[in-house]
Amino acid sequence: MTPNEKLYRIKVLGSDLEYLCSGRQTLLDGLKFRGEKAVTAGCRGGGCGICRVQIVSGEYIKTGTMSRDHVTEQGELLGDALACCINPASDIVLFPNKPARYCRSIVQ
Amino acid sequence: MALTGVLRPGHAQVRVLDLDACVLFYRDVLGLVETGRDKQGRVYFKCWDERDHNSYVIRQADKAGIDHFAFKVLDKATLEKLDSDLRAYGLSTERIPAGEMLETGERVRFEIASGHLIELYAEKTYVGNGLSEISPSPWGADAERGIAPLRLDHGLLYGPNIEANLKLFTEVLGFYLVESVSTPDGNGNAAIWLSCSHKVHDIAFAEYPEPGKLHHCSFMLDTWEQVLRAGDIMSMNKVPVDVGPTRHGVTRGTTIYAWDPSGNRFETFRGGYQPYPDYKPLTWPFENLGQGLDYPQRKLHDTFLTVVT
Repeated sequence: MTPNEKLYRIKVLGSDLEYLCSGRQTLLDGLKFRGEKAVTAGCRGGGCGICRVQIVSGEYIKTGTMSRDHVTEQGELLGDALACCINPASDIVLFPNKPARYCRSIVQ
Repeated sequence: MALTGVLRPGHAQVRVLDLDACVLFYRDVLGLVETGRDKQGRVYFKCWDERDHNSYVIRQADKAGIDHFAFKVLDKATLEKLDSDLRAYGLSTERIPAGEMLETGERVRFEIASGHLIELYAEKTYVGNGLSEISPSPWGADAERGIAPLRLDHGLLYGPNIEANLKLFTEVLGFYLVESVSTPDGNGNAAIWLSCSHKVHDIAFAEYPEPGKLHHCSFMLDTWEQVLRAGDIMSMNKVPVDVGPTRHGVTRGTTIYAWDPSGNRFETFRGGYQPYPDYKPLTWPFENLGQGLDYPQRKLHDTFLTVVT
């Protein structure tokens, strides 16, 4: 599948946020255009894990490489994904901000 | 002063998730010079004004981050002495044979308390900076290609037990403390900047719960205008930017932080001052960390504190 220009509805559980995201954008980029911070943006390159979400339903296309430090193969099967690395291919329901356990601040 | 012992950061080996995208980035956007590829698939770079074969090496992996950070030492006798001093201190060291990395001599590798692998070496092939050794021009074409930093200047590594690192680097490796950020109770260090030279730092550490993490590798530019130019080039190439352009309170450096295509943070900076080992260390109380990080905005940028690879 290749990313397409259709607009998909992304529902963020745990909030009343629902936003439209083009198939040409990552889930993270679609959210930032709204100015929303429901999913935290980090390195935007798949390396840091801070934008990890859990996909509850829907399909996506992987457009970036996700570090296995933050999305293991098993986790991926269970719905873990980095929002900066996936474009929607259908309407999606997700849990936001399930950041990798490594993402802890030096400010305790 | 005579620079002996540990001279300077020698190289960093960094893991990337997408090697091709990162080669394009490091070569064409950051403007490093690609100097080789080895049988393992590692890609070697140097900054245009560096004289040795390589200072930044990347390899494809399924996790981003840093493999090791290496320092060049004065000569083989120094390497032997430091190896013996490290072992006497209680660390176990490993010898990596000459040639394991292209154009690089034998390396002494050891793990420090924060979970990072550090290396020392004495020999790396001299390749020059592309300018003549007789009546050289001050710069050449490589100095304008991409961001084109002058050198790998330092790294900031995140991990636990930085007090033990402070002790090791000052008591065994000959570094001195230049600046620090205190812990909230004022009794310890949350972050430390260590120098083995005339620079404000050659390596830095920040206390962080997970071991072995890379905060950033840092590349030096010539002027503030070049830092601003770097920001322009980042935006032209849609490089995700973290902080800056701004100035740090700590070290006085003017800076931009951004991420490579695999999420490894890098810095393009200019500035600092020229400390000596007899200088007193400067201290930033924890509650003033915002000004230490971003002097004009006095802001604790959240991603700066939480995003590591």
